[in-house]
Amino acid sequence: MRWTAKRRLLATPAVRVALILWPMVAWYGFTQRMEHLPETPWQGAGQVSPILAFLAPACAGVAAWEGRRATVGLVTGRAPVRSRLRIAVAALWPVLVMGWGGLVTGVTVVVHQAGNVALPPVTVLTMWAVMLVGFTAGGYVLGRALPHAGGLALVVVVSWVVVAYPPAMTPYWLRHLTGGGMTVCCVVDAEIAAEARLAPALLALGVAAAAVLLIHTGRRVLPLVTALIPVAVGLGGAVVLVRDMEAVPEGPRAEGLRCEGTAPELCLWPEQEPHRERLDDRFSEAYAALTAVGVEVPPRIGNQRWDPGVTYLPLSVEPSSEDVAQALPKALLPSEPPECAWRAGGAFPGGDAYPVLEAWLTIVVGGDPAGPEQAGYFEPRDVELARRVAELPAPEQHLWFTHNRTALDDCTTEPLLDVPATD
Amino acid sequence: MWWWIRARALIVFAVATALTAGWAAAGPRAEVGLPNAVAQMMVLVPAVFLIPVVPVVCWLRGEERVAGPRERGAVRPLVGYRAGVLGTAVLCVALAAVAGWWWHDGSDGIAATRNLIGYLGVALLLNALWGPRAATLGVVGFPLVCAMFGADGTGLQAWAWPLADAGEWVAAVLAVAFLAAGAFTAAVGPRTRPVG
Repeated sequence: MRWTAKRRLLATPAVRVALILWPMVAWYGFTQRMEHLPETPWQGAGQVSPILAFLAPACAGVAAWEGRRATVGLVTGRAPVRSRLRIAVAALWPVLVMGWGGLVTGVTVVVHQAGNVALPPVTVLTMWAVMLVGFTAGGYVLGRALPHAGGLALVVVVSWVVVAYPPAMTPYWLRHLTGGGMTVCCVVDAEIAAEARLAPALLALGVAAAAVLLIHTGRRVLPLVTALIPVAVGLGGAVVLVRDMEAVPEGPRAEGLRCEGTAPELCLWPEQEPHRERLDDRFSEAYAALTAVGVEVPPRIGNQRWDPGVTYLPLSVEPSSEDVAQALPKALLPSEPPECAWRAGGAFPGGDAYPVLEAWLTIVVGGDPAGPEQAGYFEPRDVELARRVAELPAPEQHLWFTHNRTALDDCTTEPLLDVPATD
Repeated sequence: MWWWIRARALIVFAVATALTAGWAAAGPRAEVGLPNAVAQMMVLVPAVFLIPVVPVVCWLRGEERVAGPRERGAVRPLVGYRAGVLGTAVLCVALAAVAGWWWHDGSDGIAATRNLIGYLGVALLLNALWGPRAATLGVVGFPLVCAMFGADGTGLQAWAWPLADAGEWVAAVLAVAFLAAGAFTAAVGPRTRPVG
């Protein structure tokens, strides 16, 4: 029979499914409620990652369909000219094109909505591509092994369970075996940890290697046992990589932080860089005001949790003036109570001073602790006290601050929760 | 006829249908949490909404076994046989659902009957166009797609009929429409054997 290109295309299951799958991916992308558009490549990756929950079962299901076709057609049972592996590759490359095409569609939609900044990093795209190879190869082998068409249902359900459920499961490492934790990653100073990118790819490669072995050797006991080795290596390696990870698979962002300026030396990520000039001015004002009341200011400050040489400042990608007034006081105060506060029965009187100090620092750096941005964050009485302190002469504010700041570091100093008497 | 029953593995289909009917009548309140990608949550679906997929997959297994021209040259009225078997299956589940409704005042069995009708429609449609393997993937994938995209945290989309409660008449209409489309396509659809 002479096959025309049209007939060849329409006879390929992957083409048929792609005609449904790709529009579905695009539709999902467009209907996603983009309240928070991705602002970094890593957030873009998080936005795209849920589509793996249907691309992976689709690849596994269609590959199983191809496997079942080969079984029903007795393709390998009738003195084939080509090897089993070549036959499988010929059947499976359209499935991979279907899956990768779905990925490209998903990425395109996210980039269309959020701009090039949301383009997921190459390493993540590679990991997804390798994952789809694993699902495709595994699906084909299962499709060949299962006794009838009902087996295809099993392949779809199992592959769907493997990808769709782990993001809500504990222990957390289960989430990272199939890239499920990426959805909630990452704030601007973090990136998806290398381990979380490597583990799903490693597992998929193990499955793919086992599948290649089984396709090549056919149904025999020894290859079946041997095929367990790459799966075990892939699974074991992946578990070792992610076993200690928390729910969010984040690690320190490797590249892009640029520190510039003096008083302070401000460290910003590329996404924040367009605002540097405005932020420099804002921080200069704030630092001058803080220095005027004798508050010691950190020389190097920025959105970086991992480097002890940089005082951590929780800033968004597009920080406003009020954001600086909210973030700077937090950066100047300790992030946790002192160790003595955690001891059983230990009192920490300084804890009461924290909100007042934060409100006072907000006022000093030019913010409004009672403003709409901070609605409900401070108690009115704390704001009232902070305002009264801020009206005192600078030396008295300094004394009040120094005393209360000391109270935050130990468990014995009683904080001054009143306006000091003026002479 | 016995050979036809054996060729189509209808015993398995009958057992799966009986289990579905039994579940619809007994009505244990088991629920399955299905992940939803839109609202990033789990949609709790009564298991009885999903169980009718099993007899439909078993039916498709029989379709695969006799796929192609094997039944086309039959002297016996096999179209009538097929319609009779499927009609009987739906009737059994419907009667069980009514019994369950009367017994413990639960309407989930009615929804299961609706879903059996709808899943059969999807299966007949895809089977006629693309063959039994595509139909199997479609029937299994459809409720999962409904769970993933058919709910947005505030309610259910109309097209996600397999997850709707028994009282939703739009869901019932859609399920019957699928069956009608499937039966029509199976009757007058492509005469060539689906390649898939």
